[in-house]
Amino acid sequence: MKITLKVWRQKNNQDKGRFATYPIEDVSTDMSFLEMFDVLNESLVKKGEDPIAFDHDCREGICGMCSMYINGRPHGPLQTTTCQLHMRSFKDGETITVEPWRASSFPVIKDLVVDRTSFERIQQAGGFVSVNTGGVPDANEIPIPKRIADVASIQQRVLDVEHVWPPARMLQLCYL
Amino acid sequence: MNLDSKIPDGPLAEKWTKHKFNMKLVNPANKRKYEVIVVGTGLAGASAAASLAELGYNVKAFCFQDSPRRAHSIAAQGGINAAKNYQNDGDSVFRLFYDTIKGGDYRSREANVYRLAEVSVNIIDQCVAQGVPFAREYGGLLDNRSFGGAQVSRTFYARGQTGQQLLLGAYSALNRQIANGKVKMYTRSEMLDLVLVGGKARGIITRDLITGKIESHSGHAVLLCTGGYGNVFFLSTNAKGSNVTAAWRAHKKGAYFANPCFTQIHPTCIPVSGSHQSKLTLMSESLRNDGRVWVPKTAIKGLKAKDAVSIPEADRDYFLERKYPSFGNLVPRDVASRNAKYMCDEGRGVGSGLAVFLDFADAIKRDGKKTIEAKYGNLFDMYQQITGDNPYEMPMMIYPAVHYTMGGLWVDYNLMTSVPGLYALGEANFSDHGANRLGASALMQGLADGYFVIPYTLGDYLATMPYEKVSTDRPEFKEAIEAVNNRISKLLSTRGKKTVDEFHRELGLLMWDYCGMSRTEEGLKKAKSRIQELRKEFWENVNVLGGGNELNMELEKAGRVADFMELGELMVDDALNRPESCGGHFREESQTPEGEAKRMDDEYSFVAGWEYTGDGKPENLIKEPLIFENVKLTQRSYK
Repeated sequence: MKITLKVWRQKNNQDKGRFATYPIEDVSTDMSFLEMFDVLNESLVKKGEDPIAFDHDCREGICGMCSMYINGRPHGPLQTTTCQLHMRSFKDGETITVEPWRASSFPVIKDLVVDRTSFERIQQAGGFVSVNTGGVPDANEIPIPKRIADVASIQQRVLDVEHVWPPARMLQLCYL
Repeated sequence: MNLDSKIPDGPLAEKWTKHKFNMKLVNPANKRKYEVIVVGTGLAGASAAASLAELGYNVKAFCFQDSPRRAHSIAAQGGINAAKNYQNDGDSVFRLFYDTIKGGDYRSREANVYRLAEVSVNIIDQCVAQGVPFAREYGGLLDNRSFGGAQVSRTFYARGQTGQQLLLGAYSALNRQIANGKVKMYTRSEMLDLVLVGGKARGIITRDLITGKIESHSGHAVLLCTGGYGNVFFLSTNAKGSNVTAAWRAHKKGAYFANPCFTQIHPTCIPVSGSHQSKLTLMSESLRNDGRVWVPKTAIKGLKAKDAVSIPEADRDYFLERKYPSFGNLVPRDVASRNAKYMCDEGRGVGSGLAVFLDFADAIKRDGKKTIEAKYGNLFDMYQQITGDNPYEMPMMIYPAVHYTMGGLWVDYNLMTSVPGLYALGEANFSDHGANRLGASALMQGLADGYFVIPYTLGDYLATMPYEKVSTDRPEFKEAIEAVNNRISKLLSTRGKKTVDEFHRELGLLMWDYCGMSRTEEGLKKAKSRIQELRKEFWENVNVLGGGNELNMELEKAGRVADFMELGELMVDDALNRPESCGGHFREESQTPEGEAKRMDDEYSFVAGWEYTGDGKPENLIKEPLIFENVKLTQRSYK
């Protein structure tokens, strides 16, 4: 399939930034959204143009490193991470707009990469458990009802992986 | 130099207890006078940094991601083993030790593995106290499952996200120490060199990945908790950023690299879909409990999953059930992987030709769709998300992928490398898994090293060290900075014709074809000369755009790929040097009549430690003999 990408380019946090347009041919529907970016970046390097900076790491939907606003939604049209979004979710000939997270607490570092250390500051302000290593009771001396353990694990996933930020709160309500 | 493993004397079960008593202690009031550098903040790094800070040491921790909680430990699905025997099914510390030694095909140290099994029970207590939401029974007690062919249920798990939950626990402990001011955290920072002063590890050189600034950090000891090197294969289940650079830089400064050819290949991954493929996704091997693996009896080119449904039973070859009637689809990871490869080599692969079917039709017929959905629903959804195929209606396609590296920096019983003051923890070291790692043992090892081993063994070393800090103005730091800067300028000034990824893909393919699931002398020799050519070409023809004083992800990748190329050659040398088969290292020349890995215990029962001798020079092999006093060496059979 063919698509047109409209991507936010910004050299650094001082730069004003602008949209750049890249027509891409031969996009396979089996590509992940990030693989489509890989292919585009390869072609940019070949042409001597700066590749687009974007955050990513595990590429299996768990680490929370990937971001991107895709067509006005965080992580695009599916309720998933950008790394788990595939090109089959788009139409042939579509123009796709990609922006960095748009929030003043996440200043842009470069292109689609933003600074998310505000999350660290929240955790370090007291969002941790005060248990030292060693000297703890046997694990089965702290029984926890299954129902609570199950809810906690779902909640933690939603809260801790800010994949779905900002709809995290909304999703959490759905689960509860 | 000799490789002195420093294993304490005495009976196996008493070694660690005795050693803990014999080690020197640092007075609580003096701990604050020491500074410890921790590189990497996955399970091993975060748990070590937090535990050492709790003891009173000052810690500087580094990770290349934007937060410690991105580390790839987060992606571990299955679970974590511990010899709790909560299920009353006959588990014990000795049984977990025995299973791990046997599973590693007798290429790991008895004393290290026993200690791992011993502290495994403390890990679960620790994590539960932190609030890790492990799966529970209705009565509120912890649930366990049997995993990876173990005959007891000793695996603790938190849905399919055990690694994530454990990492968040360790990350929470780390955050507490950051808030206390005992840990100074450096995110988006990459270690690019190790600094030795007077023969001891006294600091590191890092690059701030946002500003490009090269910085020096000094300390009294350096801990590398930097994970494995699976990305040498380009395609693996590792995160894209996982790399060997910190460990490899340390290797070039004198740390021996042990058993680099021991890599693990996982059988149930989603196959490659095209040349754009950037990584491979693993699906839990629990799928093989109910799925049946097959290919057509006669090759059908480009067979799609949706067309497989109409192939009659008589025309299907359930090759694992045929070849291994008693274990069937549940043979160990390496056996399952290798047989899938053989089918594809014969031309009977499906899809692109590099895949086999994993079929749930019989299980659904037998147990109903609801039961299968309850067991594997999340995996089926993930598969459908990635491939677009619905596994309830047609078979999945799977193919093996590189998953874990058992080799790593050589360490002694105290986790110290051959460089005094330099330690390696977790997947970055070689010590506990021998030639093959059992499922649910990686998380166990990372946390054992970080929470319960290093807090003791590091004190024994620091107690001998003066309090004085070394200044980063010393010539050793200046020289290291200059070397780092020169390398960066070289990468940026080459402006050749090939991209970093093109080199990485080529290297990966060579490693996969010749140093992957099965290896031959001929293939390895071919790989060696081609890697050498590729390395040469890399430094003449790589194209890295942009500058050094900015966020430059191509530059980051280029530095990592350059190191992977050197490591790749060492892996090939190591594989050539070991003509026996053992665990994940299958040399076609050495197999039993049944086609199983055949060890040569008389000649190859040793750890291969490699010493760097200079750029382009062959590395020196130093052997650490493995002595087995508590287990009897046996040959695996799964017929």
